[in-house]
Amino acid sequence: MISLKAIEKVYRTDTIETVALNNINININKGEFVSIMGPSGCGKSTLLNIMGLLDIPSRGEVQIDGKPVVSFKDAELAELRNRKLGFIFQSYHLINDLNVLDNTELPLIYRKISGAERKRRAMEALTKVGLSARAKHYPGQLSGGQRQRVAIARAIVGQPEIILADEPTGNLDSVMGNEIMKILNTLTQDDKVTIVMVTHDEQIARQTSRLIRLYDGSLVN
Amino acid sequence: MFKNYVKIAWKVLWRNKFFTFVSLFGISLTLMTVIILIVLIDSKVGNSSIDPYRSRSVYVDKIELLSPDRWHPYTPSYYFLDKYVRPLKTPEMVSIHAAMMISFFEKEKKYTADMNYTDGNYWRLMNYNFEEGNAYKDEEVAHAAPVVVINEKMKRDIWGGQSCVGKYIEILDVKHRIIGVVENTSTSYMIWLPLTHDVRDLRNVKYDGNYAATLLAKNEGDIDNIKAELQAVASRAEMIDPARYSKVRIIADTSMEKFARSIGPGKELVMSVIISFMILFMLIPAVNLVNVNISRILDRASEIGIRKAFGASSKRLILQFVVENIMITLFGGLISLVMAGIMLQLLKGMNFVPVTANLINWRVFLLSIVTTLFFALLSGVYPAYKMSRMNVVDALKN
Ligand SMILES: Nc1ncnc2c1ncn2[C@@H]1O[C@H](COP(=O)(O)OP(=O)(O)OP(=O)(O)O)[C@@H](O)[C@H]1O
Ligand SMILES: [Mg+2]
Repeated sequence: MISLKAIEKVYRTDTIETVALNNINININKGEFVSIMGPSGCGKSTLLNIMGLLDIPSRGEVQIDGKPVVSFKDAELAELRNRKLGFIFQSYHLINDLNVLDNTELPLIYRKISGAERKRRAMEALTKVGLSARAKHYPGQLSGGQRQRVAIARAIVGQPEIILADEPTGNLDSVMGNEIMKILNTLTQDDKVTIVMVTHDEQIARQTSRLIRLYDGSLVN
Repeated sequence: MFKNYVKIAWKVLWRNKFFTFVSLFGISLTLMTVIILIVLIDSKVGNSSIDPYRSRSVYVDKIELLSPDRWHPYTPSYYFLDKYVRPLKTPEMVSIHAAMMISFFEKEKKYTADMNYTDGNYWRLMNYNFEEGNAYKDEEVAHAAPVVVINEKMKRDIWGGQSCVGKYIEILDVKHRIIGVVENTSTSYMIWLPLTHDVRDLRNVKYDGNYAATLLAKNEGDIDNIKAELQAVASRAEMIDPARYSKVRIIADTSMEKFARSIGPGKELVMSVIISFMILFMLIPAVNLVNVNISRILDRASEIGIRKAFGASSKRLILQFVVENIMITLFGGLISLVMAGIMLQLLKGMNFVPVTANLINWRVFLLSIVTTLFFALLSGVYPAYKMSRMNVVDALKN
């Protein structure tokens, strides 16, 4: 589904040049649950962002279903992110001005779906993560674990084929982390969703079908 | 979709109360000032219910006389206007009138009033609302009938609001019978008399005096023909004291030109100064709002990143922010209309603005809306464009 070919990402500032990713070749196949591990600063987030079309590589090619991403226009990229991908971020990234329900329905706003239907689907997603009772709360009124579950509801509400999760359990204790893992496992098993997840936790990485190790911007076998 | 933008805009504005308040304050103040300016200018130059023919009128209230070295400005006399302006062929109607201040005693109290000496045509050109009675006719002017029209304020203050028609009032040693009372158009006492009572000026054979003429054109396109005929007449005018003044020139203005002349030199210059002033005046708070909006990008960077990550295109984001800005600006426009209404009332009370100046006037309303939208776009589009161009990853880092 996603393939990265000879990806390189270089950050240039006035004084230094950081090679965040170096000659990365990865294929993500349908239905896989892939985890990415590696020390801090080795380029995991950069890699995930490039896979998720949030960032562009300095060199190399990203393909989605065989099509090179560079050929897409802004509106087409937006559509791809909207329909095919779902993101879960380490620091949740909810919109504080919107309540839980409005946050959850966000991806549906950018589709032609009626308000009532959006609300229905958002409630359904919230039920899946066990937060339907908090629909009218604002992010500021929730615990970290609850916020991350809202973020998961938002990622799954549009039924994307791929979920990209950057340390979804990083800010949570192990009990809460296991809760989140349970939800993700159900998604791959029951809904056949492809998941790529960055994690620091060996325990959690062992629950996935494939492990990619990164060191200093390069893949390690 | 649009409903969604409005809903989100509303929530964002409501939750960022401080920002909203600061923006609204700036917007309302600016728009209020612009609206008041528009109303003021409109009340001077636009048609109104009382003065319905302004756009077809040419005003002659200045002449210039040429001495050997230069032109001298004067107010024309009745003699001059009656002899040269009244007989013109091009205008549909000519009215001659003069305005001055007088004092009179009534019930042992001294009053000061604005007095107008007018002919019968004056009442055809103006459309005052008569509270009771009516105006004097050509015949009454011709015979110098001792009649007078007063305004409501006099009726209220001097006669306690009782019916006045038929009562007498002594003006300049002549007893005049009140035949009409008009609704107030200003906060002063006002009196209208047939100009034939003006015994001093009327028979003076000279060109300078204190009269003015209003010439009604058949249509707006005919105004230039009237001006041309006026110049032709002036060039043929017989000079009374040729040794002193060899030529006369008539200054004929439309309401707009008259207004421009009352402020400064040429009409084009005054108008362009006023318009540039308005734009400049709006530019300052607009630039400020642009600044506030841009600095808000930082606060809202993560929201922008999130929206992009979940499928908002740049176009959508621009639209969202522009809608937000239009909403807050329209709301500010609404507040400013209310503020302008209050301000106008105050200005009328201090006699800075004619009582007839009106906010509820389609010209003013349309101009205010256009101004408001112009302001919204001026301050909203650039920040929106900037916001939409943010890199997602950078935006999310905030
Ligand atoms: N905008 C940027 N400008 C310059 N350097 C950057 C930028 N973003 C990331 N980097 C550098 O790129 C490298 C990889 O960063 P990245 O965020 O991908 O690491 P990571 O593996 O996700 O680390 P962590 O586990 O701490 O989240 C780091 O050395 C980082 O300093
Ligand atoms: Mg990271």
